[in-house]
Amino acid sequence: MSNDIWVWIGAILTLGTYSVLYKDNPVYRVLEALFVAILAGHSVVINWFNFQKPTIVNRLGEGKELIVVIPLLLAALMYFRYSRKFAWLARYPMAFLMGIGAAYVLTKNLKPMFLTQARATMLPLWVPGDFGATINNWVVVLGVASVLTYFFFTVKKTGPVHGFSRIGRIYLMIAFGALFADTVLGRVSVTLVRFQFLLNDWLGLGI
Amino acid sequence: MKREGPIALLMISGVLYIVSVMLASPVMEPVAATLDDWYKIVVGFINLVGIISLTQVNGRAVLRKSSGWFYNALLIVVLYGYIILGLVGGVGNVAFTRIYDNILTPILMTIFSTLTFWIGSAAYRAFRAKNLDAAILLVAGIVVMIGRVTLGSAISPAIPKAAEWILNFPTVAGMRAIEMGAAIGGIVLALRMITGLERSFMSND
Repeated sequence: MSNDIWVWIGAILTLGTYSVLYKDNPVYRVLEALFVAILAGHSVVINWFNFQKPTIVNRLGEGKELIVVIPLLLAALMYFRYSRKFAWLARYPMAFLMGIGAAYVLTKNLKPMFLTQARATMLPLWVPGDFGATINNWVVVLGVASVLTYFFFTVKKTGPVHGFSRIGRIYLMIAFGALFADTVLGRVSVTLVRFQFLLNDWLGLGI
Repeated sequence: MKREGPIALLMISGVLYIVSVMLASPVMEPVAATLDDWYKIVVGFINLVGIISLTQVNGRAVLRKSSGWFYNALLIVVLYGYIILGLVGGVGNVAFTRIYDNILTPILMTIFSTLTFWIGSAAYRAFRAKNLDAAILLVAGIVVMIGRVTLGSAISPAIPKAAEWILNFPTVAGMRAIEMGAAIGGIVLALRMITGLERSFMSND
């Protein structure tokens, strides 16, 4: 067994968290409160040292960059949401964030999320001397086209369009099945790491 | 001013950002960089809104002595204790990092791993081959699951190859189409926001 106090704490926390698998209990609820509190507290501290402090202390204080006052005032308006009378002022920072966010989507997301994906789908449907590559290219092109047809809701799908969108649904089932399996395997790996910690690091069984 | 002002700010900031990125001239480039900078500053302050809400919700439960108020009180005490510890001692503070590494990380990892057990019951429901769609989901899932562990290659070397093929071709095709559809949706929503048609962000106030 380990002599390290931190390994013991880690083991107790691990077993306490697993206790919820049996049923909700006070130990789990204490750990849940600790989890939320530490995670939220950590984000505040990291945020202060990464964003607020460099802005307020370094840029505004030492650097005398007075223009930084504008976003700071805008950010301060956010806290008016707690006032019934002036809650509408909190809309201004949200509007600014949404405006920049929308502009960002239009200028920067279009290429990687749409154009690059569309270009990657423009594959040769006949690869001389490589039958396997030809089949694979067909699978990808047919899949992208049929799934896009499946998500086309502007008109009612009938006849061949309905049949083609049905192929898209089959593609989606394959994709979801594969991704679900991948997720399960990821979770199982994490579980194995926790069990290795308990059996090796804590109990010293050397498994 | 209550509705028109925010919409005007949304439109002006959005259009200014688009124009400065599109023109990419020496005059306009700093505008986009400044707006990016301001965006990061404003986003940084959202965090505190979450902490205030967390305090309000849990503080109210403590004051009303609701069932399980002890956990709410514990949450508030640990939250502010940890914040003070970090702000006074800094991010490199030993106690601050010890608590993160040795208390938060084991709980986080274990919560993440408990999903293995919940996902097992979800898999049972999802993988019941009641119709063709569910049967396809089941077969794809089983092939990928077996193919990506040593059991798969022990049964047949074809299983890992089939798993790789499923992940590299049909899955890529399906996910690519979903991503393209999401991109189109995002563009439409962004256009609606910049033109002032989308105002749902103001509905809660």
